[in-house]
Amino acid sequence: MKRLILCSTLLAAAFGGACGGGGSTLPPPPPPVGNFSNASLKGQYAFSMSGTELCAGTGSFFGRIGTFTADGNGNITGGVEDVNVCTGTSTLAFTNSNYSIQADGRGILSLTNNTGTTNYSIALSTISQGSIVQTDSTVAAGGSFQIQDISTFSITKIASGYVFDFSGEGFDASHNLVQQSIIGRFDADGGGGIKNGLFDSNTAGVLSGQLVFPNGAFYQLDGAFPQSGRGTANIAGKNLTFYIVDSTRLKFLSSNLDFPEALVGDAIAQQNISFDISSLNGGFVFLIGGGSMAGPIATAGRFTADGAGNLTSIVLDENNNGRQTPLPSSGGTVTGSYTVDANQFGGGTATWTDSVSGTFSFIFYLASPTKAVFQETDGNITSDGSFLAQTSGQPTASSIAGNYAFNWSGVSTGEDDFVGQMAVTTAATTNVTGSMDFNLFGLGKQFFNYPFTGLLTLGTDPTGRNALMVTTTPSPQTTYKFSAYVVDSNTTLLVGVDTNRVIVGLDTRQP
Amino acid sequence: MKPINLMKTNSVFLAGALLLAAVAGAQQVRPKAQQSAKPHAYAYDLSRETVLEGTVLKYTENSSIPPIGAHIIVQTSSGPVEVHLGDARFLKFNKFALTEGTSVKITGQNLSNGQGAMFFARIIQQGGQALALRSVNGAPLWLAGARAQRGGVQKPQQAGAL
Repeated sequence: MKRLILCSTLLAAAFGGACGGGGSTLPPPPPPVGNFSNASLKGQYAFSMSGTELCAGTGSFFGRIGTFTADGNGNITGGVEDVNVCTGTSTLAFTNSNYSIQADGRGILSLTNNTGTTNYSIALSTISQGSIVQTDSTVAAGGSFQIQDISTFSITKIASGYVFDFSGEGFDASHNLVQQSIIGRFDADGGGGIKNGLFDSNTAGVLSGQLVFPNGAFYQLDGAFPQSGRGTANIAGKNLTFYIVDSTRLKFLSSNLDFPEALVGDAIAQQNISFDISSLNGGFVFLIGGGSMAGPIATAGRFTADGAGNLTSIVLDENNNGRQTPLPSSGGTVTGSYTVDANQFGGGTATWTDSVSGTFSFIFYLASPTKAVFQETDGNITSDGSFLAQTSGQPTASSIAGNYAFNWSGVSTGEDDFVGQMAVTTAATTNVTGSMDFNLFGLGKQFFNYPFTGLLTLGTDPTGRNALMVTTTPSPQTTYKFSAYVVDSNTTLLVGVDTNRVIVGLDTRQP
Repeated sequence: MKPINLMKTNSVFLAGALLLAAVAGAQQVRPKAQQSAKPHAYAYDLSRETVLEGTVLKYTENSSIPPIGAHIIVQTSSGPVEVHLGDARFLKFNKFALTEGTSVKITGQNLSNGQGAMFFARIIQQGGQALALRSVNGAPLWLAGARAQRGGVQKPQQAGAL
């Protein structure tokens, strides 16, 4: 039972877009429908993921970032990755690897290095990006990948403001290794220097408040793998390895210098404006995940900001290790407010109180007026993710119909990671069909090409809580229940509302 | 335009803080958020810890009752109490086997968030063995797994390809 760490790696796809084991394989399902093929995966992609590895007989947090080059014909012709596992960190080059992509955008990927071969299932949302789940029996992990712009593999091209969200395991004041989230922002000067660095850390619920970066912040590219976009950095006092996706996105993982601490996350370019209270204006959907003193926790919801410090129309679902808290609560009313820092760097706070359930508190750093990294600051909760502007108006059955690649990650008795593709129609019943691969972490717990059916039901106010129920059709059937919050016609964020698992998800429209 | 240096922020406080940062560690700019008078979630308070003593009536590795994880029901002098222990694999990893009928002593806290109460164990003792399940702040210690041994795990114990 791990914390939900996926939000930063999973939501990276949404942020950018808007911004085998020994398991089971079913009899061949009907041929997938779609226009994807091996040719769809062509070029150099950066990936990041986090999850749980088997180490000394127990589950242990781990992270992985890197790059691979696909030739469009099923071959991986090169690449390198950094892994941070329970025994330490390694940098490993890929050789003799391969992949295959089905018509619906789902596929499998094998990456071989000098320690062996690791296996993945993937789902392309476009030819430029997708979701990825590791499907080995000793590792369950989820994340995302995006095509790299190799023309930006220069220190001079990393010259912008960035917001970041790193999450994982860090030391508390008693030197216990506990859940940690760090969000913030900085300016990269195009020459390896960093200025105006600000961050907030949450270490198992112990808050730092907003801090300036300690001395020693820098970033530099790595000479050993010049074609990979790999570099090293010190951000918010943490020593990190990174891979450049392009000048608007970097993927980070803690380096050996900080071991056994391990943080994974992305930095996203920040819009070049002065942020103030009016920067937050309109409807927003959020998804955060992490840990509480009870175990894993996930929360999704929406709110409206009025540009003057007030939050209204607040709806959410919190799943705190199986215990559900919906807002507004039964018989309750919710009021909220927010602030944006006077320094104009985009930091701020948000708070709302349900008259029955109590108060929820958060901090954020705006990447733009339409997206931000988001961290909960309530006692004993370390949970982070993002919020995104609802830009498409009122969702309708017609506007959300279409094909989606998805990635779910969660915790039940162990880590559960899912990747797949679904078709959503306007039918009144059974309007969801699809297939997925999933890894339930353990020998024989990897499942491939599992078909499912489901029902997506729009709520009374579809800008708020909607319901998605998905049931795998092979016996024994398993049903997954979610609250679904629609960002726009391309993106929906999910939080599981079952009492026996904590799960988050991202649905991304395919062309 | 976004402020590209401190002179454009009009924030004397921030400028001062950043200057201080040049000669010291991280400096605080925005104060820590104050905990609300009515938080919605569990919050562990060391000063309110209690100790349960009794015998194990039932051990459930994966309880169907939230919070997810291992639960035990302890028969105490004042009746049965259900206790959340966290991840059963962490107990196994530490070779801590709970059997019905044995005496246990549990340090922790009974907490409620309006949807029912549960006793959250921080330290569990059985015979001569004690195991810390949570930090003094209530943070689960099982989440880091073997990584918490701070690099003491030997290479062969990491399973499979990297």
